[in-house]
Amino acid sequence: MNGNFSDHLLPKAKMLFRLAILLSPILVLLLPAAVLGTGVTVVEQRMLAILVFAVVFWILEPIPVFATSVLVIFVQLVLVSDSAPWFLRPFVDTVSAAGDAHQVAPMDAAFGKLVPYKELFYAFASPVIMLFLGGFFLSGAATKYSLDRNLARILLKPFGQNVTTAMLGVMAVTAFFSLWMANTPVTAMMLAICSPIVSLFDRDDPGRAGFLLSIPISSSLGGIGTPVGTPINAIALKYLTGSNEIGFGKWMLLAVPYVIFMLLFSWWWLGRVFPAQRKEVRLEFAGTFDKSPKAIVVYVVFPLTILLWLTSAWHGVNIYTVGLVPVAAFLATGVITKADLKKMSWDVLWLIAGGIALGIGLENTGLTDTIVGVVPFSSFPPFALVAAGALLAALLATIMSHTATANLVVPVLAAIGAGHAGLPAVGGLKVLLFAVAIACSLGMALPISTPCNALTFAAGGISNRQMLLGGGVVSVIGFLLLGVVIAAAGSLF
Amino acid sequence: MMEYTILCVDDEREVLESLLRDLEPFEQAGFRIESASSVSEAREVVAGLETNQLALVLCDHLMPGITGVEFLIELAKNPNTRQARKVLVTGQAGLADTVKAVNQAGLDHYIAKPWTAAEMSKVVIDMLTGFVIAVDPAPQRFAQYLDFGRIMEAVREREF
Repeated sequence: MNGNFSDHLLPKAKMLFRLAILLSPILVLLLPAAVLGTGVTVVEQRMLAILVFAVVFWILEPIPVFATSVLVIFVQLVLVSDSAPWFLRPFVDTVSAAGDAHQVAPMDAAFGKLVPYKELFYAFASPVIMLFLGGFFLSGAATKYSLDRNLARILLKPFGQNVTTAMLGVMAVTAFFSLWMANTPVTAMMLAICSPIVSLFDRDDPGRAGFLLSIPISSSLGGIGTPVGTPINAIALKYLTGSNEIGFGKWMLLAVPYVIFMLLFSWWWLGRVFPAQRKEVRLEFAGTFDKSPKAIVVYVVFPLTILLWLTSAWHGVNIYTVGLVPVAAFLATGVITKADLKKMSWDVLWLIAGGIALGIGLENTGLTDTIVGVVPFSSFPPFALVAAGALLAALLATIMSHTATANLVVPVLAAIGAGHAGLPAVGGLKVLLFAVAIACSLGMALPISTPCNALTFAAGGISNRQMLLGGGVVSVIGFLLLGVVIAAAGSLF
Repeated sequence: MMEYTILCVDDEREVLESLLRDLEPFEQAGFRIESASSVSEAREVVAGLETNQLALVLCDHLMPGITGVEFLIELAKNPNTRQARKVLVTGQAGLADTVKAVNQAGLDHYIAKPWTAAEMSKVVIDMLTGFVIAVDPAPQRFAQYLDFGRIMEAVREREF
């Protein structure tokens, strides 16, 4: 990260500072009970240490974010699950009839509630994970059979030869693909397709930077549009059940107009701050659709899956089960092979699993209830709670992984929101989590904010200043617009 | 991040200087450019490099002592330099030598003297693009200096 305040310390002091922060979870674990207050159980204290561990490791990234996720699950299993070692649980040291050496003692109020270990293991195969697996299969198959590239070329044709309209076309097409596919492969694909256009600009033409930046920005914005657009949305959806449910179609109905407005704003803004000296481009895209039987399977299954997602309420098959349609279809027909499976971003699924397990632990140990009980969140005005939650999410997402941000912020805010009596006045828990999910996607001011930004920054030779001027301003405006939408249309949810 | 090296080998000073002039833009892209006026000098340069650090060799054929083709075969057999792109820059390699270079050194390209700056730049971009895609874990950092489209295509195909 640039401009970290610890950069100004001496290297040795900086290292010690970092080490102290990394070790802080252990400190939380060892705090005497008196410091935390009497209401906190032993299990809750351990869970709090795990939460601090997740915060510190996901933000500072001493190890990759997905590795932290797996550790979050593992440490929970060891410290707060009913499969923890016997000496970490209250026990009566007698040999039972079944031969178990150490029997768990009856519930101890001061010790607290352990999490069933199976609950934690379920996180690896949570419906949200399966939904994303489906997304990877769609992305993978589209990439493998060049469906995305060929379709993008056709869609770009009508946008003509003017730099400004061509950029609008590129932005619309990028966002359209990001609705359904992972943002980073879409960014790489669009950068590849647009390379003939990019090479037409002189190196010092500001229009070059504007054109390049339009791609990651549109990709991040497009991800907002559907529940499968980014893992963040799916994480939020996990907490939106029962009366708080937002269906696939409803999500799109609320999010797509916002995406369209933000795309138009970004297009106008990028054109204004990066005025192109070159006025004309040639959009000459050649390419033919693969007509092999396997490619045809992809052409049929891709739109069919989208259709089934949209009509979930009508046919009764939930979106998670629909997510397995491409998995089943592509494996059965050999569209996705063993070699393709190995190319999938399994690390992203494990990253999500860690967040889900963290949520399970926070809820089952009762820690969230305790936190909500201690901090008087209910006295916060509901709109302020939504705004503060979204602001925290947007700021964290600017400096760390979006998915890891959602992993941390969503479960905590879901608990706070559920216990907030005034929240229904602004639309309820769904508005809070919907706003937080969108805010996570708005973190795009820095090259490190998203992999799409990092890719464009490295490939295009974009400067930090240019990225801040493009992505940063779009983030801020997006955030303000989000506030207006929530204030004006909360009741629509 | 690895700093890659482009090695030019020619016994004629003027030729070497002209080569270095044509390669200057690639220094900006982060490639280190080394020159050697004999194969023994070139071997010293190679000995100081880590595995896969040699990206490209532009080598003359007829030099005192050992020929360019023999040197390229040496590089092809060395596990540290096997991935380097190998280009003969010569006016004097006959059919037999060229065939030997293709078959035994995995020769990637043949540039006949005299060359033009544009032709050299095109070949070097093509060679380096292939090299960074094959070897570098994050080839996107070279995209703006090399073949942008090919590198982004490779990045896209790497992971779904």
